[in-house]
Amino acid sequence: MAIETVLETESLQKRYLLGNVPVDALCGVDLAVSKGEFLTVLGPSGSGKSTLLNMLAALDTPTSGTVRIAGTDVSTLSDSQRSLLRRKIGIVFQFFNLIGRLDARENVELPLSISNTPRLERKKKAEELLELVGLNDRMHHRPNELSGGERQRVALARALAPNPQYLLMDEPTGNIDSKTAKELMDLVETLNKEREVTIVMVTHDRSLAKYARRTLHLLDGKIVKEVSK
Amino acid sequence: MFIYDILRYGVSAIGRRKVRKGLAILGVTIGIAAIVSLVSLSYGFRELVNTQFEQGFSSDTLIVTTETLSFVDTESDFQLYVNDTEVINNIDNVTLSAAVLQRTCALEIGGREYILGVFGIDFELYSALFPNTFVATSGSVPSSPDNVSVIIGARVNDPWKNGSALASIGDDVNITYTTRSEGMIENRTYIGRIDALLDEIGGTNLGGPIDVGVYIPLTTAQEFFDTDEVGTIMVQLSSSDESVIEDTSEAIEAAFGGQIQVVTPKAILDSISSILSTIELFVAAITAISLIVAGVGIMNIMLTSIMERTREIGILKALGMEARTVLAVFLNEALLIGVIGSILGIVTGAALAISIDQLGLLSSFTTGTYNTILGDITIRPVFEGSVFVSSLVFGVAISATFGLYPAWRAARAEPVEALRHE
Ligand SMILES: Nc1ncnc2c1ncn2[C@@H]1O[C@H](COP(=O)(O)OP(=O)(O)OP(=O)(O)O)[C@@H](O)[C@H]1O
Ligand SMILES: [Mg+2]
Repeated sequence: MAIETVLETESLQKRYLLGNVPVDALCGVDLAVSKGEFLTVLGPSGSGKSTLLNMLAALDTPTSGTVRIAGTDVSTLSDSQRSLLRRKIGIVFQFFNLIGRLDARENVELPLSISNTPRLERKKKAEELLELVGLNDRMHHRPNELSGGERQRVALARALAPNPQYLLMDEPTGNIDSKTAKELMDLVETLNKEREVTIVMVTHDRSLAKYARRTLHLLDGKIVKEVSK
Repeated sequence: MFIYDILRYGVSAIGRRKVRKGLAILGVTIGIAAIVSLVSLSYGFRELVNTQFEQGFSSDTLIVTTETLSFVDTESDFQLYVNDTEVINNIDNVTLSAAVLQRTCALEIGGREYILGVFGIDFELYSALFPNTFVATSGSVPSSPDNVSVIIGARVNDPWKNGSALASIGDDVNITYTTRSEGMIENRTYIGRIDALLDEIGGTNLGGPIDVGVYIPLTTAQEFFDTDEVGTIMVQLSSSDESVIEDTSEAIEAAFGGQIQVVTPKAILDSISSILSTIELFVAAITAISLIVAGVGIMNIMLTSIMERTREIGILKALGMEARTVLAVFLNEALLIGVIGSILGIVTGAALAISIDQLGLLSSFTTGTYNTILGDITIRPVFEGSVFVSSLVFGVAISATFGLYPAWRAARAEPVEALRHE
């Protein structure tokens, strides 16, 4: 079976300008993720992990270089086409990005409501997912009534809601104790194995590398090492 | 995204920012309330002019008076007398003239006390002048009345307008006139007898009978009030030609050395319609200002609300919401504000107009100066469905227009930029 590359970057560069001082968050990242792969990007704080992940989620435009999602150069897409593309991508943000005035279930339902899923169906789906991440008794809590770890799990449930082909996670276990973290990672692993969801996880936590078959080490915006199991 | 979900999302957003959104809604409410109440009152004013004045208003009638309708002219101390009608009757084109001797008296009718205007008139002449309004609904207007004959207006007998009657034909009326005689305050009283109840007139009747009027024979009035001085003399002409009216007015004025005013119906209508257009202009100006204020308020609120929710917009776009849906979400919020605000505004405006009417603010204003000639004027707001509908459309359109720019800005935002927003 030919290996299909679904997420790909080429000489990806992102430069921020702080006044006149350029800050290079990414300086020439080449990366290819194949369908059904579980890739971990490891790197210290400030190495450019979140920046890279945002590029892969079509949320940001690179300074130079290309991002290809499912073979399509993102920069060639219109705003509306990019919106539709994002519906295939589940993303768990480092800082959750839940909507404060919606409760846990409504947050999980949101991507489904954006993609026109009928109400009853999305309610059922949201409840299933919250149960899956162990939050069945927190459905009607708003984000500010949840602990950090609980918010992170709501964010994961939301990312999984539209049955994404790609799951991008930014420090998904950053606020969780090691036991819950293991449960979550097992869940993610199952999704990867059984449903062939392509997963990219960025983290500074080396202990998470064991879940992935391949780990890239990012330092100062460059990939410095690649480890495959 | 389903329309229904967009609506629900907007409702939840408004529900969560109660104070801020409440203020936006209040902005629309005030604007629309101002429009509805002002327009309804100005319609009421127009209706007053159209129906009430023109009814029983004959264009061949002149009012000769020592009072002035102008605020600027000083009143002369020249007096008209009862027998000045003889002078007027001799002028060309005059068919008849009737003196009106009016004083304010305390009356007791059927156990109720009033302070009302009592008009001394020649019943026969007055009937000829006002054949449509000086009409008895019960009893009859005597053509050669005795001294105690009294005719009362519909509202005097039924002050609450509910069909109750204080008195019936033949009942006594106590009429008390307070005056000074040689420096001393003196109360004079006589007992009259109700001979006729006037039919309801409904409005204002220039110089003619009014619903709150009490009418006694001129000779009784002269004796009782102890004077021959009259405030007005009503004059009927043989023709309502403009040239006849003009010539005769001038002739009457000349006969009294220019010391009196001859008020023509046209002059009154002209002055009223000029007041009317001023009021309408004023209403239009206030309306425009209210709308602009409300619009800027809505835009301001929408902008701040979107500023605050930049992050939320980033999330929505990150989850795959298209720009046009983001636009719809925020536009929908603006529309909701517009609809709620407009409906509240219509209700408030109508309530305001009604309470202005109930409190009698306008009627006391209008009756103050012109009471004698014009009688009782009340401006009732006139509510028209089209005013409500167009206010609603206007309020919603304003909200949509001013909500559009911030919504468009929000929809254009780059997700990652928006997400970084604290
Ligand atoms: N908007 C910005 N303007 C300027 N510099 C930025 C901006 N965003 C990120 N950076 C810089 O780019 C670099 C990479 O940031 P990024 O958020 O990708 O790091 P990270 O690897 O995710 O770090 P962490 O593990 O702490 O989340 C950092 O040095 C950061 O200061
Ligand atoms: Mg990061």
